[in-house]
Amino acid sequence: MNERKYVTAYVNEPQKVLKFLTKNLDFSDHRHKKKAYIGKEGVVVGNRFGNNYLLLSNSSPTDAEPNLNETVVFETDNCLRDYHQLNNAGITIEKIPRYTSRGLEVMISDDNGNRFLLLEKREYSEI
Amino acid sequence: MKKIQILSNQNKIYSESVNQVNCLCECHEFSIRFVFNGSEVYNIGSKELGMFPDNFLIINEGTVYNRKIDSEAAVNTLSVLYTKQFLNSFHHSITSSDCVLLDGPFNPPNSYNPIFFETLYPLQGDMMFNLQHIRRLFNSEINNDLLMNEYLYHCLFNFYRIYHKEILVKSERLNVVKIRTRNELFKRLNDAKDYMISNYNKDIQLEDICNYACLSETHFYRSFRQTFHCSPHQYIIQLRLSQARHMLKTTNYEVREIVNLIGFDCVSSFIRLFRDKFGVTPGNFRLIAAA
Repeated sequence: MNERKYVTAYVNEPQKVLKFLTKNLDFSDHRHKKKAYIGKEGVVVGNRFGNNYLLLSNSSPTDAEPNLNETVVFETDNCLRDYHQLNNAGITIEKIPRYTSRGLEVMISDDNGNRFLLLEKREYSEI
Repeated sequence: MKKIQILSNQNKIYSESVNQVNCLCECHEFSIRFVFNGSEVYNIGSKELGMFPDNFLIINEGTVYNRKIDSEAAVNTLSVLYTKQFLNSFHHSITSSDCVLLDGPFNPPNSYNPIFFETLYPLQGDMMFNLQHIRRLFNSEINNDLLMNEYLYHCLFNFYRIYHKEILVKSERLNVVKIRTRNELFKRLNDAKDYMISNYNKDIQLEDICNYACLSETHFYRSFRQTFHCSPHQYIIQLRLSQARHMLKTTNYEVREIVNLIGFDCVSSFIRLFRDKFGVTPGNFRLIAAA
């Protein structure tokens, strides 16, 4: 949770995705951090924990940096609470909450088909 | 101090913070019970079950029990109670095939009346994480019935997973052909396990455990190893180390005091066993946990 993650998501309409993220996932507009992405155009958003930053870009991914982020993973501190809120807000739930070896996760999508995985990381080891 | 929340589907959450309790009760709904500090003792039939923060207990509908708390510091407990209708519906949905569910989506058979082993279960993994969310919402001023329902559904789901792992899988390990004999042997082994958990910090002997479980020493030793994949002695050591870990995390007791409280005689052997089990010394573990 302490590590800052800068991820580029290639989307058709960055402004619409920005609206989706700020409205439903408590993301905020971080235009001032745009300098972190020298040479890239797009909109920067950050989550409420300050550890996930996302550059929403409508340019095509380069060969050197293929679009690996078909599903964008965000960390959350409470997956069930977020699932409950998003479900009530009418957001499309692609996969209901499920338990995996890394924690509890739910997958949602916006109107443009962009998929987001909300992951509540859980440390299952003894220590 | 007591607090109760009754949800729209009549499932309930009940919490208490008390120093002294000694009461005989009948459980009117299936319940899952937790204690967050100190201990609580339940007597069900001839069994005495000592609950600690790293385990939890389930009680079936209709069971008569006595619960006892006797502590200088207030002991915080929380119980989640499910109505018969909810439990039956959940059981139906999780144990039936899609075909059966499609044929009878709204009416689980009345014959359903899931009865579970009333024993101590380890509080770990997702059950522990979800319990923290339940407790946080319950203690907050937010009254969100639907979210609490979501949590309780997952709490029951987590219990079913633990039940599968702790009861169904482990009973299958017994090398006994007759189902009735296997069930009886597994029940007695569970009684022995509960006895060890409840008396983990005392100087208990193999003979005491066997008398409690009504099994001969050789039969008990062999069957216990088969079921739990460790010897009774190793099992008690694991219980003590687990309790020590909890105390290191949640109290300011010195390591020496913890060693006495969990029933170890020797500090150096405790440190060695703790390091072997968790990969760090007790002192370093406390530093990591506090960070």
